[in-house]
Amino acid sequence: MTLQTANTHSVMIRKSRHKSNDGKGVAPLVGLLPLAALLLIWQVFGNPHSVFFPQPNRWFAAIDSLRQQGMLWSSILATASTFIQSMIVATLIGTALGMALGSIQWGGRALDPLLDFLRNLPAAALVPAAAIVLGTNTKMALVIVVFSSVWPILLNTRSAILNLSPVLSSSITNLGLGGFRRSSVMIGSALPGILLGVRVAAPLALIVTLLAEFITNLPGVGALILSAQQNFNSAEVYALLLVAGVLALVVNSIVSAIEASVLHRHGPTTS
Amino acid sequence: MPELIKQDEVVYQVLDLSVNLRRRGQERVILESLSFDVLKKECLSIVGPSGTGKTTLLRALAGLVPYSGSVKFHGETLNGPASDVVLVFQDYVNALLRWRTVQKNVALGIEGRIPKEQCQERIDEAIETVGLQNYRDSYPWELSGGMQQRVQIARALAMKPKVLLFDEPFGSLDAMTREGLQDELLRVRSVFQTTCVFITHDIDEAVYLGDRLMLLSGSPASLTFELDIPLGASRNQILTKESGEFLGYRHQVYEQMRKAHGGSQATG
Amino acid sequence: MAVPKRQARLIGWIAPTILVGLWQLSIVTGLIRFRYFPTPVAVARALHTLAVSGELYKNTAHTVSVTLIAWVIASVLGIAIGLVVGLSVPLWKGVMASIDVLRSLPIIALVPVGVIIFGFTLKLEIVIAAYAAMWPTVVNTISGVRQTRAELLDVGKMLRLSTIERLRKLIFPSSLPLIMVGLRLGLGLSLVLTVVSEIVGTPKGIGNALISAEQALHPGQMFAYILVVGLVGYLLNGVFLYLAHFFSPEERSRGMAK
Repeated sequence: MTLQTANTHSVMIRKSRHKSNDGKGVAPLVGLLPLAALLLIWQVFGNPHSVFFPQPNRWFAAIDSLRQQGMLWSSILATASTFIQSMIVATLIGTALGMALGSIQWGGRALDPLLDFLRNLPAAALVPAAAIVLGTNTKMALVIVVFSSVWPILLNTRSAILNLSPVLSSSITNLGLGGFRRSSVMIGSALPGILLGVRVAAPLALIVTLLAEFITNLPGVGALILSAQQNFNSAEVYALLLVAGVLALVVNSIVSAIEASVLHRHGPTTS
Repeated sequence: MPELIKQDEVVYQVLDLSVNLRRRGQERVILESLSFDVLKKECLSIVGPSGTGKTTLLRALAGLVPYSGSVKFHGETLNGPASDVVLVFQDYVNALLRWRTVQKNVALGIEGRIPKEQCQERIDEAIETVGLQNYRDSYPWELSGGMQQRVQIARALAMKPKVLLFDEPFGSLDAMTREGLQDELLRVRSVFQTTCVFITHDIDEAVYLGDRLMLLSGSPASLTFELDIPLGASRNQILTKESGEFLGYRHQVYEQMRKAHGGSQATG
Repeated sequence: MAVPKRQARLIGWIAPTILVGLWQLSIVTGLIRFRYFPTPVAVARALHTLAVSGELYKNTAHTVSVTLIAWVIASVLGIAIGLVVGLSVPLWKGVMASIDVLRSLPIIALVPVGVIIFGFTLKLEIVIAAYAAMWPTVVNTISGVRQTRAELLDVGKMLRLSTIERLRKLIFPSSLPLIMVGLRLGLGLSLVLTVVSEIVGTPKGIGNALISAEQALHPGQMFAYILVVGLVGYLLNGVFLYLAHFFSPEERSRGMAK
C-alpha cells in the first residue's frame, strides 16, 4: 500500500517537472522588436510619395485629420456600441441555448449537423441578406453579429454541461435543488466553458461588426475603412488598420481581465 | 577490491561526480561527489527514496545531463550520449511513438542505418525476446502498460547495446505485471549478457535484480551504502524471495535506508 | 443518453426539415412579413434556375478553386514558419509577440490594404485568403512543436537520431494533431476571406454573384447562393475531417470502436 502511493507520487513529480517546459507561456515583449524595426525601416527608407506603402508618420497624420473632422471618436463609439450590445445578447442566448441543448438527454448530439451548418455559414455572405431583408440599420448589424458570434458560446456551454462531473450532477439532484437554484449551480460550474466561448466569440464579433459596417456602409470604423479605400486614401487605410488593431487589442485585454477575475475562484483548470 | 579488477572489466568509471540542476530559476545541487564503477555484465541496482536524484544519476550516465567530476565510459570521458548505451524510460507512454506500430517503434533506432534485411531480423529478434510476436502491427495505445514497457525494452535491445540503463521501468505497473517483467529482464540479461544499471525505490526489486546494490540518499544525494548480492544467475520469484539470503540482504538495505534518514520513519 | 447511430442520424435530418417547414409556413401564413424574405420554395426554384444556366457551377468552381489554392499556399508557409519559430527558443522569444500582433489584426481591415495594392484581381483574393488562413497553422505548428514531450526528445538523443531524423520522426508527427487543427481552421478562413473579397469587389465567384443578386433585388437567388456557400464550407470541412481520419491510425481505430 505504502509502496503503491509512493509510486504514484513519483510519477506525478515527474509529470509536473516536464510540464514546466512544455512550451506554453506568454511570449516576451522583446518579440515586438522585429515589428518595431520593420516600421522604423519603413519610415526611414520608405518612399514619401508611395501610393501603396505610405510611411507610418502619414498614418498618424491621417488619424489626426479624421479626429479633426470629428469622425474618429464617433465611429469608434458606434462600432464599440454594436460590438458590446451583440456580445451581451450573444452571451445570454448562447448560454441559455447551450445549457438547454446540454441538458437534453436524448441525442442532443443529433443536432450537430444543423448546428455545424449554421455556424459555418460565412458571416460575410449573410450581411447582404440581412441588409436586404431587415434594411440597412444598426439592428441588422446586431442580428448578424449575434448570429455569427453566438456559436462558440453555445457550443462551449453545451460541452461544459455535458462534461459536468456525474458526481456534481447527482449531488445537485440529491440536494433536491430545482428550478432556479439548479440552473444557477449549473451556470456556476459551466462558467469556465462559457468564458472560453466568450473568449473565442469576442474577436469574431469585432470582425463581423467591422465587416457589416464595411459592406453596408453603416456608421462605424468599418465604414471609415470603406470610404478610405474608395477614395484611394492609402495613408488613411493603414491608419484605420492600426485603429482596428488597437480595438482588437483592447477587446482581448478586457476579455482576459474578465476571465482572470472570474476564474481565479475556480482554481486551475485541467483543460 | 577495485585494484583486483582488470581495467577492461570496467564499463563506467565514475569519480567525484556532481550534478547541479536549474529548477524554477534556482540552481540546486542534486548529486554530490559520487564515486563508483560499473563492471562488465553485472547488474547494478541503485536504490533510494523518491526524489533523491536517482533519475538524475542515470541521466548523467546516459550523457543526457551536464555534470562535473569525471565519468569514463570504456576509459573515455563521457560527453553526450555514448553509443552502445540505451536508457529505458519509466514513462513508457511518452517514450513510445503513438503513431507507430510496435514493429516501427522497435525500428526507430536502427532503421536506415543497417541493411533492410538485417534490420528486419533484429526487429524480429527483439520483439520475440520480449514475447510480443503477436502484436507486431498493434499501436502502443492498444497495449497494456506492461506490454508497452516491453516494446520499449525491445526497442533498446534492437540497438544491441552493451549497457542498458533502466529508470524505474516497472514503477507504474501493477505488482503482477511487474514481477513478470522482472523475470523477463533476468532472462534477457542472461541471453544478451548486457551490463545493466537499474534504478528503483523498491528494495525487493533492487535486491532481486541486482548483482550489486548501492544506496543513494540525502540531499544533495550521495552513495551511503554498497552491497554485493551473490544470489546467482537463476532467480525465482517465490523461492529466491523466500530464501534466507534474500531476506538477509533485504533486511540490511532497509536498516541502512532507515539509518540514512536519521532514524526517522519515512512515511510519505 | 446513448442514442443509436441510425436514430441519431434520423433526428439529424428531422431538425433541419422542421426548421425549413416552419420557415415556409410562417411566410405563407404571413406570420413574419419582410419584403424581401423568400420562402424555401422560392430559394429552391432559384437554385434550380442557377444550376440549369450553369452560372452556379461557374461561380462555385471559381470560389472553391481560389479557396483551395490560397489554403495550400497558406499551409505550406504556415507549417514552414511554425517549424522554424517553434524549434528555436531564442527565435520564438524574439518574434512571437510580433506574430501575435500580426495575427490579431482584424483581417477585414486588411482587405482594403490589399485592394489598394492589388486592385480587384485574382491576386487580391488569393493573397487575402492565404494571409488569413496562414495564422492558425503558424500558431498551432509553433505550439505543437514546443509541446513536444521532453521524454520524446530524450528518446531521440538516446537512440542517437540526427537532428533531421528527430524533426521528421519525432517532433513533426507528435505535433501533427495540433497542426491538423490549424489546417482545418485555415481552410474555413480561406473560404470566408475568398467570399469577402468577392463581395467587396472581385468580379467573380459566389460572393460576387450574391451581391449582384442583392442589387438586382433577387432575394431567392441570393439565399440560394448563401445556401451554396454554407454547403461548400460544410463539405470542405467534412472532406478534410474524413481525410484526416483516414490517415490517422488512432482516429481510425477510435472510429471503428464507436
